[in-house]
Amino acid sequence: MAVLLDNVTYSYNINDTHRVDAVKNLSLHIEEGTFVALVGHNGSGKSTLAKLLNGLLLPTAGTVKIFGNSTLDGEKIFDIRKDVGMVFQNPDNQMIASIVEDDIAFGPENLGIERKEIIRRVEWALDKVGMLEYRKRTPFKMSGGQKQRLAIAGVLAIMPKILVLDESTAMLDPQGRSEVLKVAHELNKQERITVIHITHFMEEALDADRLIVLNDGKIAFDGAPKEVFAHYEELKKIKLAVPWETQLAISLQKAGMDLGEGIVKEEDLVDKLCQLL
Amino acid sequence: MSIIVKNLSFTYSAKTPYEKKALDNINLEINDGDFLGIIGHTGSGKSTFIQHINGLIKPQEGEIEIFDIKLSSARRPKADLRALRSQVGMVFQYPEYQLFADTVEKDVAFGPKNLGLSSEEVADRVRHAIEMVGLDYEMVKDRAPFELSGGQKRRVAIAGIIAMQPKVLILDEPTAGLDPFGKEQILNLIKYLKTHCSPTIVVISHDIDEITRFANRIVVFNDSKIVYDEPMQQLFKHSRQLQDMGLDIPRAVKIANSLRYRGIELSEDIVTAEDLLREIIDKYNQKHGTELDKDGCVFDMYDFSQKWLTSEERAALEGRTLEQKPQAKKQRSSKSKTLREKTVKTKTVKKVNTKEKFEGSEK
Amino acid sequence: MRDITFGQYYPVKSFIHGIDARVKIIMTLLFMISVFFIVSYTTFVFMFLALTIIIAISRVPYKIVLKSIKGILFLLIFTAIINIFFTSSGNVVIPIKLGKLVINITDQGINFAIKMALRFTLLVLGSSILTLTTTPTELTDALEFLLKPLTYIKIPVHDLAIIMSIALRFIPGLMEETDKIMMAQKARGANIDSGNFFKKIKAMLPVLIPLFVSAFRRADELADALDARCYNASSKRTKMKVFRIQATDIVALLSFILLTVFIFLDKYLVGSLFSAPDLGGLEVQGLDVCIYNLFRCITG
Repeated sequence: MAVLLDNVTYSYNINDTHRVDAVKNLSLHIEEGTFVALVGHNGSGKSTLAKLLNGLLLPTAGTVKIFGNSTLDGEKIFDIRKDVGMVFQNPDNQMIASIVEDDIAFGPENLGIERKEIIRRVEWALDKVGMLEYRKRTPFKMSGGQKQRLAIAGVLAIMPKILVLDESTAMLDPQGRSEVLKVAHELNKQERITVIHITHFMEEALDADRLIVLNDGKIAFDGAPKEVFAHYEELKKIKLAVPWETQLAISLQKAGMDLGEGIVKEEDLVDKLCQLL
Repeated sequence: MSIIVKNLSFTYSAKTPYEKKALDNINLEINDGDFLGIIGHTGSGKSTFIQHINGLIKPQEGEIEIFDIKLSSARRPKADLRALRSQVGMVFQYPEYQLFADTVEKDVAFGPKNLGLSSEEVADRVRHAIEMVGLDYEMVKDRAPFELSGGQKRRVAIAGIIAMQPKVLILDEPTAGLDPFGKEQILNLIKYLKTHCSPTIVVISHDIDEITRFANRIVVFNDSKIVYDEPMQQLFKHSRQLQDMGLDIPRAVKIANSLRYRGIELSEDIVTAEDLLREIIDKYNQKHGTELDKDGCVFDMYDFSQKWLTSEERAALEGRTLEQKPQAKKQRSSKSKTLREKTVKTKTVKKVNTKEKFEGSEK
Repeated sequence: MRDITFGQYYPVKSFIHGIDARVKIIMTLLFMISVFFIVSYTTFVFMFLALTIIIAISRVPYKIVLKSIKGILFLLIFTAIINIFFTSSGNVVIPIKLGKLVINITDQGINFAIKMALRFTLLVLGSSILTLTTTPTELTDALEFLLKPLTYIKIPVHDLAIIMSIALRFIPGLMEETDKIMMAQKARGANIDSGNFFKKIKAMLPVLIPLFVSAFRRADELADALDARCYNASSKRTKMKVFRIQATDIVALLSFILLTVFIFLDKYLVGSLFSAPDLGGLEVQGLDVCIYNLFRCITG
C-alpha cells in the first residue's frame, strides 16, 4: 500500500479561543500506481492532507503510513521524504538555485548521491518534464507552467514513488495547467509513479483513476470520476461544480433532451449531440 | 469618450542588453459604459498598457487622454495624477498582497484619504465600499485583514479601490489563484460593480470563458500590438487565428466549431454556454418537432442560495475551545528552522458573530 | 515587469566571462594586494593600460565600467584631501597659514595623495570587472569552493552558501514585488516620492508592510520546499559541479602572477639597482628611476 491513513485528525488553533479540525477522523488507502485527484474548495482540508503525507505536518491523532513507514517515526522521516515528492502551489517559491540544473541537482546532492548519478538523474528528470534544453538557463523569465514543470523535475531527481501536487496548478493559466497535468499523467503511465493531484478544478480530475472529494476535513465522495460527477446536486452543496461539458449535458437533459448518462468529455458530448441533431 | 490612446509605444530598458519592446504603436478608444475584456499571453504588453492608463508609467511615445487629462512624454505641463487616479481605479493582480493596515476599515480608507476627502466623506465611502463588495461592515471593519480568508481579503482589496469611486475600473486577473467558487463570486461582484459603481470596466484575464461572461468588447494583445478589437460576438470568427497565437477560445465556441465541422449548422454568434444551450435546443426542436423550453434552460454550475460559514464560524458554533486537544507540531529538520521565519497566523481575538452571513452574499 | 540587472552582471560572451570564477576571484585578490605595492608612476600607467585591454576583451562597454568609479568619487576626493593636508613630511611646496593654524602642503603629501587615488581607482575597476563578468551564482559557488577549508574550523560554509544562493535567487523577485506594491499603492493615491525624511518613512509603510508579509510567506513556503527535497538528509552531501581548470584559466592565472611579480620586482629591485636622483625632494622610485636615467642618457 503506497499511502495508508488511519483515523487521521489534524487540528490547529485559529485564534486564542478556537481551534479547528482541518482533517477529521479520515481513513484512506491509496494503491501504488494509481492517479488520484483530490478535489475540494478552499478550506476543505486538502492542503493539510497533502502536508500530512510527507511529514511536514504530523497528525494530532491517528497515523499516516507511507509504504509502511509512519510519519511519526522520526528516524524514517527522510525515507518518507525520499518516497513522497511534493510540489507546491507557488511556482516562484520552490527553486533554490538560480540555474536550472543546479536546482534540480539540489535534492540528490542532499542525499549524498555520487556525482555521475546526479548528472544522469538531472538529465532524466529534465527530459521527463520536457525541459532538457533549459538546463543552463535561469528560471527568471519562464512561464508559470515551465517553472512548475521544473519544480516537478526537482523532486523527480530524488526518485520518489509518490508524486504529490499540492495545488500546483492553482496559480497557472489554462495552458500552464494542462502542461503540468500532462507531465503528471505521463509520469504515472511511463514510470508507474503514484500521483496524488490536489486541485480545486474538477475538470482536472477527468483522466484520474480515482476522484476523492474532500469537504470539511472529511471524504465526501470517493470513486471513479464519472461516478462522482453523477452526484452533481450534492457537489453543488459543497461549493463544487462538475466539469463544464458535464454541466452542459445536465442542463440539456433537464430541458428534456435524452443524452444518457456519463458524459464528461468534450468528445462524448459532441458525439452524442451529432446523433441527436 | 472616456479614454483615447494614440500611437503609444513603450520599451523596457532601452539601449541595454535587456531591452524589450512592450508596446508597439497602440491605438485604442475606450468608451463610456464599455465592458472591455483584454486577452493576450504573459508578456504580450497588456499589463504595461493598463499601467499607462493609470499614469503609473509615463508614455515614451504617443499620448493618452483620459477625461481631459493628457499624458504624454512631454515634461510639461505636469499631468494631475491625483485627479487621474480618482477617475481611474486599478485593481492589480493578487490585490490582497497590498493590504497593510491593522484593520480592514483603515486599509479601505487609505485611498479616499489620499484623495484629500473630509473624514466624514471617507468614513461614508469606506462603509459603502465594504458593503458593496459583499462583506458585513460592522463585522469586518475592526478585524485585521490578515485574519480573513483568501476570497475575503481580495474583496477588501477591491473595496479599497471602490472607495475612491472611480469612473473607470481596471482589474488585472481579478480571479487568479481563487478556487472556482471564489472565482464565480468575484465575477458576480464585477458585474454588480458595473451597474452600481464604475460604469466603465476593463478586465484582463487569461481565462476566455471568464471574459465572455460579461464583456461586450474584447481587445487581443499579441507581441506588443493590438491584433483584434471587436465586439464580443464577432471576435470568435477569428477562432483559428486566435488558436494559432496560442490563445484559448470559449468552450462553447469550441463545441460549436466541432459540431459545425461534423456538418451541423449553427448560428454564428454562439459565445457563451447559454447561447449554445438555446441553439442546441432550437435545432433539436426543429428536427424532432418537439417544443422543449429553451428559455427555461439554465446553466447553473454553482449554488448561491446557501449561506456559507467560515471555519471560524463553524468552530464557534460547535463551541470548540482550546483545551480539548494538544497542539499539533510541525516536524522539520533543525537547519531549515533557521531559514524559516516565524509566520504568525492569527494574533488578535475577535468575536465572531455567527448569526450573520460572512462568506459574502451575492447581489 | 522591469529590467532586472542581476547583481551587476553584464551578459555578453567573452574570454573574461569564460574564465573560471574561482580563478577570477584569486586573480582579483592578487591584483588587489599587488596594487598596494605599486610604487612607480610607470607601473601605474602600465596597470591602467592592462585594465583597458582586459575591459576591451571582456566586451563590457567602458561607460559601464567607469560608472563604478562614480560611486566612490566622493571617497576618492575625501582621502586625497586628507592626504594632502595631513602629511607633514617632505618639502613644503605651498605653506598655508590660517591665523595660528599652519598647514603645509608638502611634495610628499601630493605624491602620496595622487598614488592613493590611483590605487583606489584600480581597486574599484578591478573588482567591478569581476562582478560585471561573473554571475552571482558563479561567485557563490566559487566562494563556497575557496572557503571549504574553513569547514575544518566548524564554519558551516555549505549552509552559508545555500543562504547566499537563496538570497541571490530571491532578490530579483523581491525587487519586482516591491515595484508592484509601489505601483499598487500609487494607484491608491499614495504619495511615496515627496516630503521630508520622516514623512517618506511613514509614506513607505504601505509598501514595506506588504513586502515583509510577502517575504515571510515566501520564506515559509521555501522552507517547506527545502524539506520536501530532503535538505539535511545526509551529512555526506555531494556536489554535481566539480572544479575543472582549463588551459585558458591557467594562461590567465599565469599572466596575472607575472604581473604581480613584475610589481614586486619594481618595488624591491628595480629602484635599488640605480641610485635615485635628487630631484629637490620629489620622490622617484622603481621604474621611474630607470626611465629618468634613460631619459638623461638620451638627452645627455
